[in-house]
Amino acid sequence: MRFALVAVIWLILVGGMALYTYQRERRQPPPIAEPVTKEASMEAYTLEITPTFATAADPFALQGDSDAAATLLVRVGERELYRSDEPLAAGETVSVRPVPGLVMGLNEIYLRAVPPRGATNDHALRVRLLQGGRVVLDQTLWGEKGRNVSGSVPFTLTEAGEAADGQ
Amino acid sequence: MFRLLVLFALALLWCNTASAAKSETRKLVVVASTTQIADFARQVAGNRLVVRSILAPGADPHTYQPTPDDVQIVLGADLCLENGLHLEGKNWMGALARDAGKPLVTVTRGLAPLTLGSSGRQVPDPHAWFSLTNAALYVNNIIQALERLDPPNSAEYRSRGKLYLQQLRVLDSWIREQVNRIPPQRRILVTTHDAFNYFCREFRFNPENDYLSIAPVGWSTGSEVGAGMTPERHRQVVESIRKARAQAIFVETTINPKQIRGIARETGVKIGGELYSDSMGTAGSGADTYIGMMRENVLLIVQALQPGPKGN
Repeated sequence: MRFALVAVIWLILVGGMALYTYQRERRQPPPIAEPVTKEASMEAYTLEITPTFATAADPFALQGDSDAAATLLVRVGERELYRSDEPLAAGETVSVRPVPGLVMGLNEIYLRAVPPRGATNDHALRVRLLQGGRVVLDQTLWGEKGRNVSGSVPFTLTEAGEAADGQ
Repeated sequence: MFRLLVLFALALLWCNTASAAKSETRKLVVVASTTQIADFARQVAGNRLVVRSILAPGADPHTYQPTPDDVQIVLGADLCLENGLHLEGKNWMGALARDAGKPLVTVTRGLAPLTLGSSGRQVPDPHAWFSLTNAALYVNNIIQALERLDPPNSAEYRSRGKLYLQQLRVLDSWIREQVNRIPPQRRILVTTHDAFNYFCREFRFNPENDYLSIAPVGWSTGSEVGAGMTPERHRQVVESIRKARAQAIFVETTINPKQIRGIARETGVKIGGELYSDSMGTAGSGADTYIGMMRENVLLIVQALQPGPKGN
């Protein structure tokens, strides 16, 4: 009799717990769907990057980190658009075309450039995105002397803009 | 029967909580010889590991004698870190790790040290952390050592290390900006012992001495080759101070200031303050981290050496 009673109590406890967790999982909202984005035509755009300084290898880079070894790095999300592991001359414009990974709507380009150690002037990186002959984006990232210039440049692409350029 | 079931349930509960508690509390232990190396390791490890330092703030690594407590600390370590290049006088950290059978990593591995000529022999200067790029090498070596020690948390060590390395880059550029306030002809740094060679070379102090430090005591306060104070060194330092018209001379937190005070009296030069050299400051001093120690040193040096409002 006692054994039966104990078994019933255990069944109630375990069953109750199972019922509770089942109910809790059922109440959880469905997973959120990924936002739908339309890719922009990669051939339509040209990205121009101009450093005001000669880029250099970073003596403070994390060893074994390929990103940190770059003297100039440009990314859209996880996609690497451009990298140079070699020093670039001051004022030299790097053109990237096509520009994959852009979407209609909000975009963000990440850039990082390494100035020479001990540089005595503040420095800048000019970023321009051209669509045909039209300038879609023209922005300058600034860095204090000796420090890496890095930052994200946000911009919005519209279908009307692409249509206007006949793309 | 009911009692038996209750006991069984309680035993299960106890086992579960005991094992959970054990897995939460048991952290790997890293033991560093000096305060600077311990700070680098803490910056990389965060709260994942326990980092301990054998030297206390203000202790001198050249003359340090390990205690029975140090033996116990190293016995509980999973990894030991040392500076090497004979900073730890008579290799005391190596001996502690070896006797305890613990792995030892020398964080200056891969570094090209400055060499100091002494009595016809070349001695590597161990105070390499005073160059910020050398400090970056220390950090990179520590990151690799922690990755080998604790592979599951490798990505976290690399992320923290990457951020800290950029902080060192910012510190490097800040020091250059601060030092630039001192006119080049006033950039004469006289300290108690030869700990600031890398600093002088990096930030262009003591041009008359080949951008190396000027100090009455050699690279070590111990009894190694080229260490200690000799009448010849004393004479050279007094001459250098007079010739270069040094504006101030500095004592160090880890060394008895008697000698440098004597030189200050002899030459009539003021004491610029107390620099952190072989170990960092105590908690609350502002110099209890590597970045804080470098910042406080630089502020003190700049304040003592830059021209006054009337150009004094």
